[in-house]
Amino acid sequence: MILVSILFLYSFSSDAQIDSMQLKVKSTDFSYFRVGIDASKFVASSIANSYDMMEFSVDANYKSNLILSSEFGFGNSIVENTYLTYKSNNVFMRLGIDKTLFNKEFSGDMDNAFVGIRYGFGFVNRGDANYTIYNAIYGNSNSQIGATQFLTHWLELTGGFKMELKKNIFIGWNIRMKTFINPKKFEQLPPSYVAGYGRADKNTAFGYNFYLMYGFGKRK
Amino acid sequence: MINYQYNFGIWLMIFLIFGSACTNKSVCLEPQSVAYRGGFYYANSDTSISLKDSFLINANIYFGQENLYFNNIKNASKFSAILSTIKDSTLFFFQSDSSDFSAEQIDTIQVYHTNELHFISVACGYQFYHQINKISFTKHVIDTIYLNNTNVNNDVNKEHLKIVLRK
Repeated sequence: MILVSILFLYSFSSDAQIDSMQLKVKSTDFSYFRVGIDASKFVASSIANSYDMMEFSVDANYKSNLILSSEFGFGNSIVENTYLTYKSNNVFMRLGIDKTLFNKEFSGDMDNAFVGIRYGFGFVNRGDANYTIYNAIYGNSNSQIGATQFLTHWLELTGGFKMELKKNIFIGWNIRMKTFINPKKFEQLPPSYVAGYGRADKNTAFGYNFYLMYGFGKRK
Repeated sequence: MINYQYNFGIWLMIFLIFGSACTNKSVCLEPQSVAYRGGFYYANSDTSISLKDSFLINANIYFGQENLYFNNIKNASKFSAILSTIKDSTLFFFQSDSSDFSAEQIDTIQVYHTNELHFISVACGYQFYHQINKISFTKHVIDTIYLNNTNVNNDVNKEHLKIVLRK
C-alpha cells in the first residue's frame, strides 16, 4: 500500500517535470500489444493445496504514457477442514489503465515502472457445503447448505515494473491492493480463494503477479 | 538502467517464487458452542421486585443428554450452561445443595428455544445461536425466573436468566 501510494504521488508530482523532459514521441494508439501469462500462479498453484488458478494478460499502448490493460483467468478452490467442506470455482476479468512513470530513453523503449487502477469482476460458483457442528454434550449436528452462484466486483490499485528481456519478450511484476465492492456476498461461506482477487474472507486483499509476456505490433 | 533492471527483476523473481510458497492457513480459535448465563437472586422484600445477588454455598446444575453433565456452583451467584443444538427445548436440574438429593431441594428448569444457524468463519464453520422463547420450572427452591435477555449468542456480558430463590 505504501509503495503503491508513493508511486502514485511520484507519478502526479513529477508530471510537470516529465512534460518538460518528455521525448516528443508521438506514439500511434493501439499500435503495440503484449500478451502474457502469470508465471507466479503456476508456482503458487503447485504448492498450495487449497486452490489452482491461471491468469493471462493483454495490454496495448494507448498514449505515450498510458497503457490499457486487461487480465483474465479462472481458478478453483476447496475448503476442507473439520467443520466445513465445499468447493468453488470462478472466472474473472480485470480492466484498467496503467500510467508509466519514466520517460523513454530511446525510441521504442518499453522498460518502465507503472501505477494503475483496475475494475475486476468475476462469476463465482460455490458447490454444496457440508458442515458439522461439534457438541460433546448434546451431540453433533451435520447438514448441507445448497450451492449458489453470484457475481462479484472489486477495485484495485496496482504498481510494478515491466521490462524487455529480449526483443519482444517481456517480464513484468506488480503488486496489488484490492477491495470488494460487494463484500456482503462473501459474508457466508466465502470461497477460500477467488481467482483474480485472493482470499475471499478478507474485504481488503493484497496480491502480486509475475508476467511473462510477448509483444507484437509497431513500436514507436 | 539495463543492469539495474535485470538485478531488480531477478531479486523480485526470487521474492515472488518464495512468496508463492507462503500459504495463509486459517486456524479456528473460536468455540462452536455459545452458553447462556444465569444469576441467582433473593428478592429484597415480598413486595419489591428489586433483587439481591445470592451466593450459593454448593449447588449443582445438571444438563446434557440424560443429564450426565453438571456445573458445580460453589460460593458464586452466576453460572453458564449450553442449550441443546439438536432439540428446541433443554431440561436442567437445579440442586440447591450438592449433598442433599431430596426432592424438595431439586427443581427442574425447562428452557424452550429456537436454534439459529450462524456462520463463524471458514476456519470454524457454523455454530448455533439460540432465541429463548419460554421457560417453565418447578418451585421447590426457586421462587420465580425472569427472562432477562432472550438472545443467546457470543456476547458474554449478557445475563439471560435471573433465578430468584425462596428465602
